[in-house]
Amino acid sequence: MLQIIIRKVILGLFYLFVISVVAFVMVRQMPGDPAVLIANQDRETEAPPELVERIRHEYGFDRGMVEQYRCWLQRVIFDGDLGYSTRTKRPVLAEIQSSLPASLRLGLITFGLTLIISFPLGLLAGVTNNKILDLWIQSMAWINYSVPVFLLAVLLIWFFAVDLRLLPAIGHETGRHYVLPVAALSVHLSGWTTQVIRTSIREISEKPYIQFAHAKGLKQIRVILIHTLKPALFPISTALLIQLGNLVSGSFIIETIFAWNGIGRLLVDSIMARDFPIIQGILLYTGGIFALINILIDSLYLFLDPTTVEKMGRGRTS
Amino acid sequence: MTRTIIGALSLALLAVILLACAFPGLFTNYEPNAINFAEKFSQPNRIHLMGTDELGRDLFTRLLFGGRVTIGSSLVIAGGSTLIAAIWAAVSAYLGGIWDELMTRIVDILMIIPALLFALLLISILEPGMRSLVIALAIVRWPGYARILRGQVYSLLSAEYLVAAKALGAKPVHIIRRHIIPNITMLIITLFGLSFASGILSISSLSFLGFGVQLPHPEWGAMINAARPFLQTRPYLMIFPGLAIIVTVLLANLSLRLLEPS
Repeated sequence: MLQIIIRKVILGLFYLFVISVVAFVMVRQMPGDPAVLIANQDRETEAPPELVERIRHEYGFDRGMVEQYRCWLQRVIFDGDLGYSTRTKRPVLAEIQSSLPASLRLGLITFGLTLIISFPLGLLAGVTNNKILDLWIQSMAWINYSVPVFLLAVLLIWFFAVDLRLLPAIGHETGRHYVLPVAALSVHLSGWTTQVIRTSIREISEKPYIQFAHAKGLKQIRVILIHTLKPALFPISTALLIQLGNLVSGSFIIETIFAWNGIGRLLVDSIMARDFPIIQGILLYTGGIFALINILIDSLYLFLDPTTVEKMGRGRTS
Repeated sequence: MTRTIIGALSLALLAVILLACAFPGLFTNYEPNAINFAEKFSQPNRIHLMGTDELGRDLFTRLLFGGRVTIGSSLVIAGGSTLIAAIWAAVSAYLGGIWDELMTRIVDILMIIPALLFALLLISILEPGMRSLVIALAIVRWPGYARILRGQVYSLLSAEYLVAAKALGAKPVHIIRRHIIPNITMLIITLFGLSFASGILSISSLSFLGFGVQLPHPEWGAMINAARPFLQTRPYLMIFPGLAIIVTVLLANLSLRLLEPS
């Protein structure tokens, strides 16, 4: 079992390597000369060609792509150094670290709230024999999913921040700043999550062995919690953990509307400014999060269902 | 029973919206970008069904032409991503062995890059505009669908009735035509529908933030952004495009209920 997890970790590292290559090649396909952009920064007039040439040489843009990548990788692996932002001149790691906590907190709080809302609702809709109740929960979930995050955010700002002056609309300094962004994100997300949970539970609860458990006279609560919920946790946790990954890699829509300095917005700003080192750093970070989540999912499978050990041993997870 | 009624009703309503946006000329006599200062900020009335905006443009007309952009590009995204996914899954399952393994790994790698951020990066590489937005969103969506389809084909191939069919001497052509294709078609249509609904949300979100359509051309997300300064005094300018998005996404999702096994 440990062997399998170790293999997953190695595979995850390999994925990260591939992502770093893809990121490296992609950012260099962007239109615009980064050396010219750097040279013209904080200048009123056009930078002289000698300066542009010097910067191009200094940053290594004049060398071949393979050579540039080798240098970058060497520094990342041996010094843990992701380079410096070409826009702010600060280390990439410091830039990411200063915008990460806000995004992480927003993502985790939203995820927690979404779970609190959608788990009971999804479970209830999945096991109930009451068709009307099921229909109500599902309709609510579909409507929640259909409201775009940005629209809800704009309406919430208008109502609670502009009209009632109850909550702040911009920034992320205090707990009160989190209320509106979390609300806007959780409504949409909980709609989707409730559906996923309901469908997974419903699928299991219609299986013959559940019918048999009921017929045998087992207590309702026991059938639901042990025989239905446990096997349904597989598809549910897979779907949810991928959402968690999306959340903690920065919701740049919310971060833009509420003027947060989060990781999503940092990436958008860096793309606009052709800030190569930051873009590479962020893609590496988000790739790392997703690789970690994949390993988590696989480990969870191993834990919940020992037969997967055998399947994964043959190198196939699906 | 309820399921069938809800599904059929949603599909019919969705068809009406699609038709209205495909042929806006049948429903309105105005031009989407025609400026008329004399009639700016009219409340919804009999001449202007949904009122006019700050430049006196007819909101209903802009909503129809905007829907053409939003819905049209979502259809292209949905079609493109499910088509690539289906071909990928078919080729992967057909080749099998090491190729199957390799293609699965490529999908896995693509899946661990966050979709919207990857799309933004792609847009900045291509020239900015609606076409790049559509291409980028189709590219980031297909790996997820490919993984689901590949899994479905894989479990179909090992299903008992297929093993039985093989044992009875059914030819591969027969198995593919009678068992694989009918089973996978439902899933492809479902994925297409889900992809269409999420496409509308993604397109309008990115247009709202200014990636995508260029002014003055209408698009639902861009219209909501344009209505922000007037939310207090002219809320209908945001309510109508907002409702358009919500209703279309909702109907697309509810239509899929027709396909669910009862």
